[in-house]
Amino acid sequence: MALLKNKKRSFLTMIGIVIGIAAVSTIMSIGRGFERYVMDALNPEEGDLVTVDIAFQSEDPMWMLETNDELFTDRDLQSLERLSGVAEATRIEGNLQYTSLDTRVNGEERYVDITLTEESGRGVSVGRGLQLSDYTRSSRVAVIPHTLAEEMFLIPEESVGKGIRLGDELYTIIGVYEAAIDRTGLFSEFMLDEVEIPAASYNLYHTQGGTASEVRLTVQRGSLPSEVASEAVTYLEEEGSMRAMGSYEHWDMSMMTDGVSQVLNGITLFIASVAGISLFIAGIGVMNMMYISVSERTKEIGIRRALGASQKSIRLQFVLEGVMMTSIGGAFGYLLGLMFSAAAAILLPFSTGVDMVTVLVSLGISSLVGLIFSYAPANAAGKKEIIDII
Amino acid sequence: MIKLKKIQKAYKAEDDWIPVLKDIDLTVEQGDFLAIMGPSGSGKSTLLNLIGFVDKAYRGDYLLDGEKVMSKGDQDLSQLRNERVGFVFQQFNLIETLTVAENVELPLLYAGWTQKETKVRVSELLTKLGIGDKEDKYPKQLSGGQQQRAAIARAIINEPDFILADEPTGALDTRTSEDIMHVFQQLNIEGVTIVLVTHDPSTVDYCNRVVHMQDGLLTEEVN
Repeated sequence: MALLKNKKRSFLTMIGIVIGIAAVSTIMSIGRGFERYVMDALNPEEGDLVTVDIAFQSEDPMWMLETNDELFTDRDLQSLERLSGVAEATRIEGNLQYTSLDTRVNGEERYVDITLTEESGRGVSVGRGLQLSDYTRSSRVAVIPHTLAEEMFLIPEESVGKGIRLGDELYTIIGVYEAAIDRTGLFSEFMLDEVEIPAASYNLYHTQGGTASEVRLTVQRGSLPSEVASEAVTYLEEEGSMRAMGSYEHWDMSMMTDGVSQVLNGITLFIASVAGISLFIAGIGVMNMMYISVSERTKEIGIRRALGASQKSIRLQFVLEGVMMTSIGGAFGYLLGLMFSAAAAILLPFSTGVDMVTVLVSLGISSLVGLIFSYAPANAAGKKEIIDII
Repeated sequence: MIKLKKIQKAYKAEDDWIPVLKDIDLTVEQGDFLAIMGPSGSGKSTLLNLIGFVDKAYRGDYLLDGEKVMSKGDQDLSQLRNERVGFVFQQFNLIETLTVAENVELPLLYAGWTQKETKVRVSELLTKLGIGDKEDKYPKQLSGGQQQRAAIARAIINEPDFILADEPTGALDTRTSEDIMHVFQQLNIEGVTIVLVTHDPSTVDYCNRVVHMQDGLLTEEVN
């Protein structure tokens, strides 16, 4: 092998490749280590699977309250489950805080605003307020405003124990509260008629599974929740059944790690430019050395041609020699990079290690450099005229 | 087998064309042991390169088994060199970074053999030529005669139709020259066609045909 014959020259030519690849594999190892670290923090190997929630936000809140259309259709859920990294997609019911239902006041049909409470409700002037037990039992009980009680039963105190129809269900009035009196009158319209019922009761009796405005994705192990979430949001904004009515949003947990990743991006950029420059210069070194090698071995080329080597096979021989040299350099560079990243890992909150992708990228880049920069000399070798040589 | 018709070739020197081959007609038959004699500069080597598919810048027709050679591309010519012809040079021209066995197997590798397949054949041939024990030696570790034997082995390993030998004894002493000529003679008896360029009259005795070359013209001596 011609490379071995000229060890010193080959070694000097390789140094640039070694440095370049060392830089590349260092950033990659650190980057991969960081990724694993984030993944571990957000999606641990053990325990419950992590979930992400995606909410649908309509441009028109009123439409959202009144619609009976499903915000997340079964088809949406099935498609979401087919996305990579998603183990399961389910609707989250009853996260609504406000809604409205129709009722009858003195023979007149009208909508009342409903506040859905999950724990105890507001203070009351008559009867009792909503309690946690009402929520857990999904009791059909309601606290109504003073104004509404007055309107329905004239004397508010008598309304306790009576019934009020909300939607198709009959609720027992357990308390009456004094609406915070809006002296300015500005908000009086909104203040009126706000009936309070337990959220669980509403979910049990009024929803037909159609108004869930959030969907919960269970993330498979090994996938980044933030990636899964943004992929799902992207999918929904393109294909989701409600894409025309509003937007989909998710809260990204990986935002927490943004500080670390910004610093890391800076370092990455710096090392990547070091790597790029040194690989380029190394490539030119390889080219130079290959040209020298070709002219030194003119005689050998002539002999090989006389024995039946075509231009193509001569070219292949020299390209292979170039690639061989740079990949050996790449292998050394990878090992050096491994040491650098191990040293860096002492200062970082996560560990780095051997991983296949970095190995492949290191070898790939180094042989690519060999291929690109030895092609021209190899081509020149193939084009040599045999008659001039032998 | 080889038929040259009115071959012309000239080199350009400054503004003049200097003719090297002038209307060469030559036929080489299967089993011939042909010597081309003549002083240096008479165009012998040029003719040899032409016959060996190395030079394709000439006028006239070169017919190999009745088929024209001239118009072929590099891939085809390389294949012809590989399969049909074996070269033996004055300076042996073994590749010095390769061992004897590696040198000898080269034509087989270019013909598409794998390294494993060539092993037996190379050993057998080297043994036959009397240098079976030199397989793993480098050319520099061998004497001139041994190197030329290795070169001959390389020339015939692919069982070519003919061998082109360009003054194969030019760098050897008289005794070794005789040895090498005996090797050629033996190969010729076994049916290998040989074209030999020489200006050593003593080597001509081994040949069955002799042509003379003078200033680009070829004349056949009938004996």
